[in-house]
Amino acid sequence: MADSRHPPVFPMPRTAFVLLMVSVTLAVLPHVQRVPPWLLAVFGIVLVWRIQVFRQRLRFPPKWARLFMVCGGVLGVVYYHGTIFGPDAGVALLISAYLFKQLEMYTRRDAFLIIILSFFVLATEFLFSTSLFTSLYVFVVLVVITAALIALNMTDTSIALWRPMRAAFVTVLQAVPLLLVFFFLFPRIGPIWDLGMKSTIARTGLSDRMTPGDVADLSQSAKLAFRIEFEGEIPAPRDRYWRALIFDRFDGKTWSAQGDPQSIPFSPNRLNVNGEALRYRVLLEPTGNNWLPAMPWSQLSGVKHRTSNGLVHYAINVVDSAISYQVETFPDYQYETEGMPRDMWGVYTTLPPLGNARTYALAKDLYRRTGRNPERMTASILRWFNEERFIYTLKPPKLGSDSMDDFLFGTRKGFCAHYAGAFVFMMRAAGIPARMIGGYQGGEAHPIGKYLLVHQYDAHAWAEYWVNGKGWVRVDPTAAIAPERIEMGSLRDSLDELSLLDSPFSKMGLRNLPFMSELRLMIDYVDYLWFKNVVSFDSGVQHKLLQRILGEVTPQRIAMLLGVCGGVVVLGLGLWMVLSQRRLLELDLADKLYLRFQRKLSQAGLQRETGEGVMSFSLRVQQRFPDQSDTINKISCLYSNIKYSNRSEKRDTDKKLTSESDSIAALNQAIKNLKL
Amino acid sequence: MESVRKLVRGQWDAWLDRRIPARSRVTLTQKRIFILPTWMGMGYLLTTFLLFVAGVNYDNSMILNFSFFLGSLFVVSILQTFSNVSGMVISAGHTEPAFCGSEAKFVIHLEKSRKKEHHSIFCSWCGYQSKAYNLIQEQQVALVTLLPTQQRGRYRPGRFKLHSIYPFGLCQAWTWVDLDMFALVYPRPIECELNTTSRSDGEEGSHVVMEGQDDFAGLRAFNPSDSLKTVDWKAFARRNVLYTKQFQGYQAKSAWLRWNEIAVGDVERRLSGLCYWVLQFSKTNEPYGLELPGVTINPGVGKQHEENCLTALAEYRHG
Repeated sequence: MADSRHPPVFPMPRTAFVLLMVSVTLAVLPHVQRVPPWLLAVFGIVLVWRIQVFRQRLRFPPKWARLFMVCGGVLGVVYYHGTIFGPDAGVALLISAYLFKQLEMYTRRDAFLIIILSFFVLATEFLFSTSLFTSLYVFVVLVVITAALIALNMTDTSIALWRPMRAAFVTVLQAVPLLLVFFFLFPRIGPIWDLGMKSTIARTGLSDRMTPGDVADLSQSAKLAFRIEFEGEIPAPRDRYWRALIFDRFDGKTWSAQGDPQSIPFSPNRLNVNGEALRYRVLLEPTGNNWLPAMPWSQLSGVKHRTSNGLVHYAINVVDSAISYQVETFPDYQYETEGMPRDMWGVYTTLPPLGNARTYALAKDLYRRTGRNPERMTASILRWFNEERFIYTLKPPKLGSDSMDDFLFGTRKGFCAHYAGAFVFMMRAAGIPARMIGGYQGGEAHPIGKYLLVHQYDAHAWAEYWVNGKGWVRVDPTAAIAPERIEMGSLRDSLDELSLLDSPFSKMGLRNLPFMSELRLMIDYVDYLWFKNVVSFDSGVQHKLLQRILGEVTPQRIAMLLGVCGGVVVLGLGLWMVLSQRRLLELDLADKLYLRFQRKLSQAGLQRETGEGVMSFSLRVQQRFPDQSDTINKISCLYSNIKYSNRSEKRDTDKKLTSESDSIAALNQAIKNLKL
Repeated sequence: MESVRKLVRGQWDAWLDRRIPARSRVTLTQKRIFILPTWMGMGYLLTTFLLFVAGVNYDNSMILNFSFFLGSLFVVSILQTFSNVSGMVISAGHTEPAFCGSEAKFVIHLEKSRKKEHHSIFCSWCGYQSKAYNLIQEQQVALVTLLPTQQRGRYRPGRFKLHSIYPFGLCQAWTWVDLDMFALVYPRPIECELNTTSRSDGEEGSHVVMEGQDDFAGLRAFNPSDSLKTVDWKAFARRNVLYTKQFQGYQAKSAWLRWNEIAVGDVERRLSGLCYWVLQFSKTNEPYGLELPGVTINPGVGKQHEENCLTALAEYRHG
């Protein structure tokens, strides 16, 4: 079959091949949505080709074809993603390399390489999700890959599929105790170097640009944004404003948050804080951004971050995986009561000079009529929103080039960003510093766990304006139009089903069934516990744990603890392995009795030779002790009868079985009677 | 350099001899099993390390846990690889002699001493790589090795290596066992001239060859291995006991293969020549005797006689 151009195929056991194919498929499966579609087509072709090679219907493609495919794969990925860096492109590259490796699986080493790559591809799944479901899936696939590895080293080709699976399962269970030791005690260190890769993972959630006029249909996602565990009582819905972004610039169409992170840092001198602190922990799902939602004014710990002058917090590293941080919030605070730096004043009062003339005029008129008082001006704007026929909708019509005029005097239909935007515009038009805040509002209190669920559909925009002597004041213009949006705590109930695009229940219309809602909350609770206890186990939590065990935490002590615990676990496992193996050659009763007989004789000076048969030994003994000849003969006959008569015949009936126990009793009696 | 290597080699062998002395039956315990990662194991550890670094750098605790899991799996694989070979009993089986230059067969028995399976056991011995052996259902297997021979005499290949990478291929467990086995290596048969005088030597008809077919010599008790043709059925009818008839033959001529009568020079050539003639005579079933300095085997025929002669040739020491 094999000629010189086609090296001989490693005769992989069938079981190993099947398991390997299954592992490859399972490792790639969760990435299906992320890789370019053509890669999936290639995946199918490669898999079918490899199976045909195994069935000896096809050959491996020639070397030039494989080289061509690898180059094509790399170029294709680069073309699709525009880069080779970042998780998405990296995974796609890894998968394409992995697939083409399938087609040169000649040797055991190649097959082993496939296994190693499977581990990699599987592990990258955690870049995208660390939920309990993902973790369980990864665990199951790990068992399958381990089984493939075992099957690869099995040489008995007749072995059934379940055997390597069972062996792998046992092995994985054996690995768990040591895994726990590593998990709790292996020192967790922060990133050693900055990879400098901006994440390219596309996420739903807040964006740092908002163009209300363009969005004709705000798509709402039922995905979780973050969870919050409160140490005390959960505050009322109307107080739950989680600030994330400051939209400080407006170009006539789009609000953007580009300026703030680079601006001057937060200065403690300008802050006045009163009252009790609210303590809670935010368990943030990956955002692919840097912002860290928190209520104002907050101090964060447990995450490397900066706080800007706008009192929003930015993580130093992009939040690409779920993180958690501790927050201390003082709801009663004042910032910049005395004024703000000149350039910031400029930023917060700037508007595009052209267009929106009617809005300008209205704002200036209102400001004059309210006696140049920002607070009275705010009240009158809100009253105007409330009294005129403004409508809160998630499907607003598109706006023209003078978007503010179009909205305020034309369509009058919009969602939070429209109203917050219009408010900020009017304040700025009157010369009052104002800014739009993007974040989340409300959330759903979990009935079982003492925590709050904040979903993507809780994303919200509101406004802040500056009053001399009071600092920044929050105002939510949406509350003037749709107060239930703020009071209910969540937008979910006011949304229609179709706008929740990625909710698994929305398509089936099952969302409102109480049973499904409970199930959803239960699932979330388990996932929450998983995240809280496993995923967010970081160096801080570990340090606390070590402190409790060791007292003083030094590298030597950690190493010792790790060594002792690891050693105990490994030793225990080894001992268990040795002790659980039972000896094969267990003596039965007849053997024990016959050994007693032999001991008696050896005391009398007669040794049975190695290889001497029972009967010939018996003859020799009878010659030596003629007076005991009968007894000796009886013992030998009984013993050889028990041992060597046909076993299947003996086991046939109960009657025969009793006859065996009878003969053992007789043997016992005869040996006792033997007097030398 | 060579001497250093020899010294190290000698030390190593001496250490091995102390640790695993030569015995015909060896049970594998932790004292006798060595274990180290394979190249694949190294690759696996590198993977684990890379994932660890990725987990640290991406600050992704689940990737970190994944790498911890792979690390734990590696440790378990060491224990399992060890456990796979431990408790196995290795004992010497029979050997089959070979003519110098061909392969001698050594049979090694692997057996279970505990209620567990032993998978994918390989043997390498003096360059010979065996196939894989499994003790799954079977209690015992015979591991057959064929070792090339180079020198006449008793061939002692010494220690062999039993190894296995089951179940993960990440570690290899192995042992060096010396079962004190040897195989006889007969001289390589080389055709040569035989002095014809030797053929007429010997008294005519004076050698009684037992188990011949010419004359009836008597009766003896029946052995299960005896041919039924030789059973004395009349005696059986009379006395209800089986007897075997024995015959003997008188050899008209018997040849002597003598050391001095091989024409050519050195010791090995002569032995090769004698070996050739032993085989020739055995083929034609003619009786022959063998005379070497210090060894004399009286003329005879049959497999046993041939083997005796060949053994004498194999074990002959000159001078």
